[in-house]
Amino acid sequence: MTAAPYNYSYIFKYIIIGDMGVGKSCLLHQFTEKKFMADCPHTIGVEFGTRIIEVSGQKIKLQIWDTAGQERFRAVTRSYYRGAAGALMVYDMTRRSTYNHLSSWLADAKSLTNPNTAIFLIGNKADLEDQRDVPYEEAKAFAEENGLTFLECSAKTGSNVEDAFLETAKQIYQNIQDGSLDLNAADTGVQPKQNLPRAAENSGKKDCNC
Amino acid sequence: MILNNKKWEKRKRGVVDVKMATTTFYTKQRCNWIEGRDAKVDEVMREWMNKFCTFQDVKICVSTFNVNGKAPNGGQFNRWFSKDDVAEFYAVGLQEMDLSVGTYIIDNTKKMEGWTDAIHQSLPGGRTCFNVVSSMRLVGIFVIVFQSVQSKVRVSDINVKYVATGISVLVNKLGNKGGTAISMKMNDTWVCFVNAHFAAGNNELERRNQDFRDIYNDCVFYPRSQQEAFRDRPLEVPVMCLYDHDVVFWFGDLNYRLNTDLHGISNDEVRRIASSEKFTDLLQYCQLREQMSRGTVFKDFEEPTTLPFRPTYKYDCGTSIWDTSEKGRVPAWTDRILTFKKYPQVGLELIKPMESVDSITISDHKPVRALFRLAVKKINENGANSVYEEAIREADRRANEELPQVQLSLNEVDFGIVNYLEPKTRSIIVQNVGKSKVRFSFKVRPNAKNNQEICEKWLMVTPTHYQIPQGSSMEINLTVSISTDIVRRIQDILRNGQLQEILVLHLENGRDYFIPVTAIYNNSCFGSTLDKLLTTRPRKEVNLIDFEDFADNLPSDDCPPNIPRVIYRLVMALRTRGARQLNIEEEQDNEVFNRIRNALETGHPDDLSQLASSYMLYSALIRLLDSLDEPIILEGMFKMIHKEMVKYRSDATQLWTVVRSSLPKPNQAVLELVCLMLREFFSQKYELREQLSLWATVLFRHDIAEEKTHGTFATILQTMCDYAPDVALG
Repeated sequence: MTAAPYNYSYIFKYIIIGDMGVGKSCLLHQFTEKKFMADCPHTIGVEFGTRIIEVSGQKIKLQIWDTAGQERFRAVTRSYYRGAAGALMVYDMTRRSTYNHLSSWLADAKSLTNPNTAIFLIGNKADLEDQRDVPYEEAKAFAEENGLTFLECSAKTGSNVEDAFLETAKQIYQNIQDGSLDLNAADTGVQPKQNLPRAAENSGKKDCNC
Repeated sequence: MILNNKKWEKRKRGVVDVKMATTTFYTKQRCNWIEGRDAKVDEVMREWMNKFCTFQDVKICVSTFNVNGKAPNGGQFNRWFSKDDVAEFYAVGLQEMDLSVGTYIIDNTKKMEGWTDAIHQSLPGGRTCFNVVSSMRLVGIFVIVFQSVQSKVRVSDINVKYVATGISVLVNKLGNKGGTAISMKMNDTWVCFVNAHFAAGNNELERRNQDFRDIYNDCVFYPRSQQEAFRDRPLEVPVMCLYDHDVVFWFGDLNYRLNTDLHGISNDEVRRIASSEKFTDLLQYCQLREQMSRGTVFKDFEEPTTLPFRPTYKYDCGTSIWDTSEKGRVPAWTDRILTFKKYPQVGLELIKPMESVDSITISDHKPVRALFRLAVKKINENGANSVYEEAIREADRRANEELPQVQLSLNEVDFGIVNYLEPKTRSIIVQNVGKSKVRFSFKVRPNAKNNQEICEKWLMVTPTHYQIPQGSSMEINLTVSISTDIVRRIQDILRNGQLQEILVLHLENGRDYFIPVTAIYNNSCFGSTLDKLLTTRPRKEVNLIDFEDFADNLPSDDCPPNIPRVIYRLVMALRTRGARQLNIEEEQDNEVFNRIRNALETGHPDDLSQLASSYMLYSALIRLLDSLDEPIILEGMFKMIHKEMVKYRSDATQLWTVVRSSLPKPNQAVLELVCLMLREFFSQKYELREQLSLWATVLFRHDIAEEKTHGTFATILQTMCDYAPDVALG
């Protein structure tokens, strides 16, 4: 296999949504820094992280937006869904209420993103198996019913966290490859990086005085 | 858009311009890292270069010579290149190699061969010691690169390019000015040699600058090695611009002159200085230096601070005597060598002072030469690829760490109780705790009805955007202010009985903070309704003895049951003080206003006549009526009441009949009370009649913009004030 000779050719925008306290920020930190933040404060706003990953030999830059889960910010966070190529919808598998709210999060995700947005269902806190409040099979069934990819993971141990983000990217990449995601459409959350325009832009910027 | 479109179109179609690629050593791209894709990754890779690169010092001699159309005539120039410092590479640029008209059309390679031979012979050790790496010619602009036969440097990816500038003849440019360039990889270091001949003439400064820009812009190469790697993605084949090279040597007859005439220095004086030991003093008048300091040309290029050789132009051919021809050119450093480094760590040094070769007199210019040492890198591909993966992680870490970070002194702002017309301010300290300066702005509220506002009208934020240096902090002020406009629709604004807002503080290239803002509006007699005012009893004051029923202890008075006590008290206080004390020119005093409001709401003191000036009581009454949800004189269905009253504007009997038959009892009572007061005032002080239109606006709230009703409502009010209902209605 020839190694891909470039750093990354796409930028994918992700959003992480779900109830307060399900561990959205912890997932982000685990993914970007490989660290678990034990006393992560509530996100009051929208946080932001990036990481370059590799999918099928292509370097892809993920831009991840981690949103506040508090109900009172719901109206405001909705405006961040726009242009997301991937959405991680997270619940806490030890708290049933966070699972019960999924349909409302899903309704938001479906109505506010592009139809091709890859939506993943993530059951977090898999390390607390003895406190499990949502059976795997039940969530799996919910995911299948709604056409979502489902994963249980733990932001604390890091288990499955990489997969959650990478699988989403693979799915988006697949959508690009098979043409179902039209890069020319608005708000796909994917920015293709082309080299020539860069050179052209730069040279223009540098020396053009017309 | 400067990169010419035709070329761009071609690239888009994936057509590779083969004629530009000359002899290219086929190299397979094995290094995953390609510079220029991600600035952060490049930064890390450069810092870590020693982990996967080995460096080798290579001496490169660069020389430029305008040969004035002369042929070398089989001769050689023994002193052109130093015999003491033999370089591994020689890059020579000639200008005016061929001045003959028509060279462009009838390609004449004779002179080129002659000069190539002459240069080759003149190299230290002669032609057997050096091989020609590549050359490129545009009419008389000729660039050639030689490599020592002993050199171990692997030269690959050679590409050449010419750019014609200057006068256009039909589609083509004449090619008497322009540049020729050779791009190559020395081991894994990208080097480009650009030889240029810019527009001549003292006054052609702007054209010279344009020549630079044109050549810089069109010097774009398509390295074969990169094309191979992108075989399946022709659209993404990277191009090499000049600034993509690690090092660019730019030399030639740039034709920049001395601005000595602008400084009143005569040609003779210039020649005298140029011939003296103080010739370097002239450099301060150099047009190129001046243009570079302004940043108009050769941005990021370097040249030694001083040029330790005399101006190289213009001499009488065959001598070293300044031009004695009729034109008598002013001496100038027209022949230059500049360098560009892609980033500071590139190891490029001038190892000997730049010099001109005075002994070569064949031309009206002198050759200029410079000897450089370049640390040429060799990438260990396996090492690079493993470092690369690590560098990506490091770049991620830095990118995340360098995101703007601030600390807010408050995550949430609670104003507590806010009063009508009593602005309250809170501040948030924003501290920049990140690694760079932070720009913030408040985002327009999502789903805002008015798409321009960052928040609801009752809240003001200052400043709404600013820049905070690293480590500094600044204060953002939030002010809640309940104006009449707001108070009238307060019921629509309240959510769960509170004023609520969420501000979105956005950091440029970073995260957003949500700042919830809450306030409890102190339900006041201002911004209320007549009905509510009628049923509202004064609030108990906290420190007051707790009476069983506060209302029972109110001083008994003759406030009619249909009139809210707050209105009655204000009117009675005003009547007690009388119109003579009312000075409508007085200044508004918010503190006094707050005192009146407090007294109205607490019922304490009950008698307002001693509390404030007549004017303040008067304006409080106006504000109170103005802040009611509806005007005292209601419009009625389809504005029927107003229309009727307009019709009978001078007929007091009819007007009062309309009032009595159409307005609710409390409205009637308040109107009658106000008219009574105004009637007294007008009789006491005639000029107060000027206040009629103000009162009409307060009582009717008609559209004052409507010209046709202008003055009509004041007339109605005047009629009603002139005739009290009991008089008018008999």
